[in-house]
Amino acid sequence: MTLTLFVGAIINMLFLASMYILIALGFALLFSIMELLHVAHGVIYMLGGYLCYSLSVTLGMNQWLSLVLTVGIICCFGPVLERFFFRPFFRDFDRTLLVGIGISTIIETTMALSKSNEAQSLRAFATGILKMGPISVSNERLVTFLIGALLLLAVMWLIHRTKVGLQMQAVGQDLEASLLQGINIYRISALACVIACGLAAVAGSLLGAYMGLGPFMGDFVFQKALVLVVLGGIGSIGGIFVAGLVVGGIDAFLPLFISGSATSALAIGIIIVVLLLRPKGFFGREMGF
Amino acid sequence: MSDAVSSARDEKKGSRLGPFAAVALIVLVLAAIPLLTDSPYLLHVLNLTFLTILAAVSFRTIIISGQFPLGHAAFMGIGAYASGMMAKWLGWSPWITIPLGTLVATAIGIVIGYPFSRLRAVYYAMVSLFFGIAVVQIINAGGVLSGGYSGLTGIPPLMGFSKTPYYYLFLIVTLVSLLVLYRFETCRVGTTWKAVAQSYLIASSVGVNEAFYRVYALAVGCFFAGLSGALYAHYNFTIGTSSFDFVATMMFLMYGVVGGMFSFAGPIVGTALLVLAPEAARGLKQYVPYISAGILLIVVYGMPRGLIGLPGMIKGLFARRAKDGAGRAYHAS
Amino acid sequence: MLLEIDNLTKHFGGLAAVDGLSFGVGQGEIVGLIGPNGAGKTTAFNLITGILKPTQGRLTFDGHDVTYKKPHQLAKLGVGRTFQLNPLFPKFTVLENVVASCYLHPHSRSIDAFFNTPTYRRNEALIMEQALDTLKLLRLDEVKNELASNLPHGYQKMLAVARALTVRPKLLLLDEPTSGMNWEETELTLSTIERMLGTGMSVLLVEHNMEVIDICDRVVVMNFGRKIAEGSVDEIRNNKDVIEAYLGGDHAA
Repeated sequence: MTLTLFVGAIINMLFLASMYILIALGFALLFSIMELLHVAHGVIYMLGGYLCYSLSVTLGMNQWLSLVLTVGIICCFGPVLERFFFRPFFRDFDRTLLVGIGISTIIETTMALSKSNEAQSLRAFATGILKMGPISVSNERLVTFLIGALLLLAVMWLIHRTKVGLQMQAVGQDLEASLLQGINIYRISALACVIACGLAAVAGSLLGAYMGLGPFMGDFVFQKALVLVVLGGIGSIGGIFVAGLVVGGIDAFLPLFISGSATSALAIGIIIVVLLLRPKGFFGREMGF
Repeated sequence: MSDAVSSARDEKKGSRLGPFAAVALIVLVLAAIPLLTDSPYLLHVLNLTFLTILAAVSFRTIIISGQFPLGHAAFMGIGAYASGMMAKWLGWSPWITIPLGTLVATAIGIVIGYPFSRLRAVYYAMVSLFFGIAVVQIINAGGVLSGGYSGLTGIPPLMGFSKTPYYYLFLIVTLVSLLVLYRFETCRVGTTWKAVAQSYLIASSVGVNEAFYRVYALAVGCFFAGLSGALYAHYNFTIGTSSFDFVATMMFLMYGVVGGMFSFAGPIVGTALLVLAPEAARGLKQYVPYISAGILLIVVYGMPRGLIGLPGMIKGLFARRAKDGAGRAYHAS
Repeated sequence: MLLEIDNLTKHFGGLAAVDGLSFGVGQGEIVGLIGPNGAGKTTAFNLITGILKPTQGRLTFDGHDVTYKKPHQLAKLGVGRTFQLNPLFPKFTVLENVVASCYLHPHSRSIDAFFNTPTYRRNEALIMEQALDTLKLLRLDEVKNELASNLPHGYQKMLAVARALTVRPKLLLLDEPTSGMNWEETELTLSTIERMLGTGMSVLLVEHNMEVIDICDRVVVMNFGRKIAEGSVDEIRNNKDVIEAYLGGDHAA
């Protein structure tokens, strides 16, 4: 394997990792930190992508402005999510799961029925290629990587260094103790939902540009997000970072050695083996329920 | 004639003759259907319903031990593909490959479940989910052997091409399997499963090897899922991974919740309703997800005990109203 | 000595929840384990019953080395316990709770259970009889069909004891059995414990209620995971270190 190929794979790994991390952040905030099973994350992501498309392509707004507006609008779903989908079924694993699936199905079906079959895609957020010696990286990937890294750091800072973040951790780890401390769990949950929706919206818009849009793109997203969270371990955002690198690495390097459809099967196979050996993930703590 | 726990519960509910008679009646009606109708389509739908009921009930069997097998449909797929591939490529008779396929599914279920039997049940849920995804992808990548994305075709039939023999076979197999699963649940094994589900700590403190019992439930559940899948393979002659993915598992969960997870008959009622209702509305095929999702949401939000729990729920509403009225009258005086 | 605890240590990360704990419980003895909150008493229980694995140390029960044995194996050897929190199967009725717990004595094999053999039927009938007797003993037979989670707190604790007795234990570990009980219930619990002692059973008791501790033959006092005192009830009551352990916190605050 030549050096260029290797370096190319490394760059690809970093990009994929940042992409997966971007996708997983919103979900991780709710599931990993607060133990709220947010099955509809993929759907929010998809709605974000489509909204950005509508604003920028259909209405012709500036793409970055559309992104900001999309985030703003999607964030409004946050409190709705908390009030109607999480609060009635607090700690009830089956029900939360089913409600998420029910809502996702309805929204996805509606989108599938109302959109025509043509492939839609946002214009790239950045064009051009950056050349560094023999290596070239598209600016689009670079932007995605930077935004992903930035948001990851922002979320980690939020969780570990702000009062709000610590409260979120508290609610996720020990509900009764949090109540005794006077934490308003509903308000904190709603805040987390708002942030998660915003993160999903960003991810949906950025990656909608890169991968194209589709009513069922949320399923792929949810899968990847779940992999990162479980692999990284419940309760740890740092785990998401490591897991993102691992999965990105697998997805970047494996195709170099094996071609064809076996790659995705093998990739998931590796993940399962890791889980069998280390069931709690890299940095996980025991789940509460 | 079950264990002390079940007898204790039945003391409260009165005689169990009623439900027994109802079941016998339903079975008689079902047995008569092929004699009354010529429509192969109806038989086909019922055949699929029988197998789905078997899978859905086996899903619930694992649930009552406190675990969530989110990849359950994959075990149907393992049974189906193992049996189908053995019959197609090795030329063995389906009467041999079906039991073998079932055992393969059971064995793999045990292997996947065992490392997680000592952790909290939710971990198994995750691994089961990933395992389901992995199985689908591995099968899709199987090239000619497994038929890849286009599916495995040319599977040797079990009993020829007419629907009727399969109808009776599936009716009998499903009935017997349900009886087996019901027996498991009402005897001490089932009671122990339910105990482990509620508190593995207490269960182990009274001598129950709770890790073993959890794997035990997995084995039983995967056995019947594999059986259902293997039978399907030699009935449909063609199988594809889209029948065994996460969506399929979610359907089992849905059937169970709609019918009422607390009751053995829950998944049966739920499956019957949710498979047959869309069939009735066949013209609106694209709206079927709305129907299923709608029913699901109504049940989850409004009927925690599902359809079977509905009569109890309504009775409870009336009872509370009566008490309120009486109470208010008392205070007014 | 029926139960011998030797240098029992458990580390969680850098913290030693139990540190070098050593004591024993003899046949027919009742030993009390006391100490301020957080002293490591429940951790010690969990180590003894196999829920946690010790970092160091040895446990011997009835001549067997049980240091790394799992909870169900200990139950088989004759160790029964109650739990302080969540002591019941919440979705079972009172009767079901006890019947479901009669797993070991008599033990039915899966095959017998599934095929409803005469052995199984005999066992289940016996279990029902035993369960009803135990409930009557603890004055719980009137509520036998009540959902366990609906019971008042004191009744739940009694039920937990009933459950623990189904193991036919040689050693019974009681984790704060009278917490939340009123005077009558405490009396009933005490008399039940005394009756069990009369049959040769040993009891290891974690308690905060000093009047319950009074019935103990010996008391072991823990603080910060270590044993700080051991002796008869009177000796402990007058022990300087013990008094300071309980009051020291107040002074600091």
